[in-house]
Amino acid sequence: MLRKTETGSSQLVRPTGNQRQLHSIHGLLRGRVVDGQFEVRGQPYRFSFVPATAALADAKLVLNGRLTVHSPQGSMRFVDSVEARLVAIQGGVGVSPVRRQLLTGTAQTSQTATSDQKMDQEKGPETDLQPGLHAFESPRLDELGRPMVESTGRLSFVGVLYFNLSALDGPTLGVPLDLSKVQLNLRLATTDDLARELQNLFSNVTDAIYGDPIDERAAGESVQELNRIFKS
Amino acid sequence: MLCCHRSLDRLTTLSENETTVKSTKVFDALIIGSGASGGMAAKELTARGFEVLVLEAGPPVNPARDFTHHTWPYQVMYRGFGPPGWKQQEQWMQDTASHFSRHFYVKDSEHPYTTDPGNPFMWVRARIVGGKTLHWGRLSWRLSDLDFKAASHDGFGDDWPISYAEMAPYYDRVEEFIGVSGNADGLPHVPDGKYMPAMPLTCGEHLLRKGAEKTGRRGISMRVAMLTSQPKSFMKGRRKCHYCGHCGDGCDVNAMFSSIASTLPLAAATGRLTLRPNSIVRHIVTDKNTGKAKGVAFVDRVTREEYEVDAKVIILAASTLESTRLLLNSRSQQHPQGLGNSSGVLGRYFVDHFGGIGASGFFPMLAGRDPINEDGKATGIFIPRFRNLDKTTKHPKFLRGYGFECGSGTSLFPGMARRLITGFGPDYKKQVRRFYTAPVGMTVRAAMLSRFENHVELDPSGVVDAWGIPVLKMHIQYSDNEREMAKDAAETSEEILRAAGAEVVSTGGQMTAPGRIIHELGTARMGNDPKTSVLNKFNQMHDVKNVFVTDGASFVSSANQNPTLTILALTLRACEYLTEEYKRGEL
Repeated sequence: MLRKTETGSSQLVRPTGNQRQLHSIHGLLRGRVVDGQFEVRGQPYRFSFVPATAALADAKLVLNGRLTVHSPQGSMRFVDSVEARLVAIQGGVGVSPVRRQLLTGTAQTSQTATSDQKMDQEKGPETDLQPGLHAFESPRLDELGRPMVESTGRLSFVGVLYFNLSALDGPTLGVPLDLSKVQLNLRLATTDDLARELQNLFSNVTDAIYGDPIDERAAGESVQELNRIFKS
Repeated sequence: MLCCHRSLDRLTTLSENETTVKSTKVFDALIIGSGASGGMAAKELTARGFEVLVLEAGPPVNPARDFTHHTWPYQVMYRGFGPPGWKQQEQWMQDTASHFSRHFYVKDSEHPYTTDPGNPFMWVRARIVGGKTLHWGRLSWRLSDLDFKAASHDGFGDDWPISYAEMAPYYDRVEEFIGVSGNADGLPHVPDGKYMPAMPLTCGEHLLRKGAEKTGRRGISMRVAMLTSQPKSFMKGRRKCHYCGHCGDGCDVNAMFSSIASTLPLAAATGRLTLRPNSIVRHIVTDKNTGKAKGVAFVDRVTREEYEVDAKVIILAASTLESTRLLLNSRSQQHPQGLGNSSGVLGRYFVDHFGGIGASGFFPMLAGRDPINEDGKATGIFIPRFRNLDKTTKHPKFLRGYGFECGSGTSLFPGMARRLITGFGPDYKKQVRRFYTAPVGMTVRAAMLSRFENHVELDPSGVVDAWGIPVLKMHIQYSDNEREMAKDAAETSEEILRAAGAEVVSTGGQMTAPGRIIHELGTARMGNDPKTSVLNKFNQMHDVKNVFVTDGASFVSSANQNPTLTILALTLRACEYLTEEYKRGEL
């Protein structure tokens, strides 16, 4: 039996502090609006970010727009000219909502895409109770006749965009926390045509700015298109 | 914040209320994670007299509330599919989560990680007491020296610093403890173990086995960690499998091995286990003078209050990538590249298995027969690796090999009807009824070569999770070796299916994105040389002697077998060694 190192104490862990900072907020793209919710001490705050412009700065995508926060008590406050600087992405896995596979198929409406998506999400090919009891995806082969990897290369798409927001003032927005360094996680689970178009453009921009070498021209064209949509 | 599982009644749990007293306890051992490895470490160390604290990042589990395996789709809204869009909005990477089991998995909205465009990674995570053992696949294969000494066999990569002979006694003990059903098949590359009776094959699986044999391959019953005979005396609270077939939604008779059914209750029964759920570890705290670990800093998942706790030994069992993330986040003056990373290897040699390739169809001779009650058998038939076993089986285009997980028989609608049969209306229903008893399919589980360039790092742009903890960026891609293997597997699966007499409906597929198989391994590998490895052969850190990493991060190579049995055996072995070192005052 090993010796107990200390006895007679009921405090097993030391408290060192409370939450003071809001680290990140998670939103979904609906149309051109990022909608989401975060909690502060168990209280729900809804927020929206509506980008008005897009630009490239130091080969990074920067959105600029209005951030609105709705408090649990129902009040609404907003700040304009909030800058959202793209710092990283998460590649999507699964069925791309619209990108290369579906763009050309006019008959493949959004309903088709989301239905497929749903089926794949519920019980994926690798999660069936009895393995293999499903139809395999039609083979997509590389130039050497080997199966391709799902959601990579030309089958790829961006799933999440991570932005750093410019410093915000908690009291101005009615949030009792330090908002000086908030990360916006923008999930692109698109369900409408406008959001799908934006997701496609975001995928093109990230391909261009994270490519080696960086394709500034392609990025610029996509940013121009983003601005057209934001202003329309 | 109590754990409500009936077997965990004696467990000491902590809550935020316990923060008002004056002095602080130093635990003998602190285990991060309560899944397969963490639970086994808790059981072993408490049995050996250690006062143990387990910190689990997720909530407690309450089987009465959280397990839904006897719920029928028609009993719930949306027939079990959940409201439209739920998964894409919150749990888009949690591939195996259904609407029934979603609470076993993290919300991706709170748990970011990053990748490069075009190279995604699917990270399936379970932050909950019991971890992924609540819903794991249960396949329990031993590795052999073909795996442990793979580099000696084919010249690629590095051997493990251990051999099968060293591991065999630990495999024996783990299999007897967790309860594994299977057969002794006499195949040296999937060594036999201590088994309960295998689950019987279905008619279609017998046909497939014969088809495999016609092509020179073996088909064997899957070895699964499920009780098929009376539980042994130490398996308190566990029952024989009753073949309901919904293991992924939580097994409330505890027929399948899980931490909450097996290891944690025994640890709790010693009176020396303290488990604190909702405790997300930020980093390991090191002593500025000695460089050794002295405790951890963690944040309460719910209240977001920050804490520290001290321990003499730290065991990381948080899952492959979470453990490595923690070590990378534990930078200090003495460990500027992350704890235990003087070699620069931490995060490197990141591997996984791939799937997605195979063939499926119907057995015409089984179509239209009367259905029998076979759809609850949560296992099937396995065709073990047959490539590159020796000179006669050497493949000219790739190293290592793969196996096929196969199944045949009825399954709950929509099951095979979802895609193997197309159409609608009366004709569709007729086809579903006709082929309900006849589907067959096989899908690959394949090895991936361990390569230095596949790695994880802390996201260089500073992305954090909901608690402000830096997240990982994944860099992982398959090589030509895996692609050639996939091509061979596609061709071979069709060959076997046809040899079995099946009507082949679909073949080929796409290789799964890394991560989808949930076998991520490596990134803190073991080895004899501290310059090229993070851990020694006992899962002990070369650089910091009182830190152990006992989960899949320690793997040197992936093999093609499911890893959990090996993780459990490594943990058992590490705890035995740890105890001896502790007694000698070496930690």
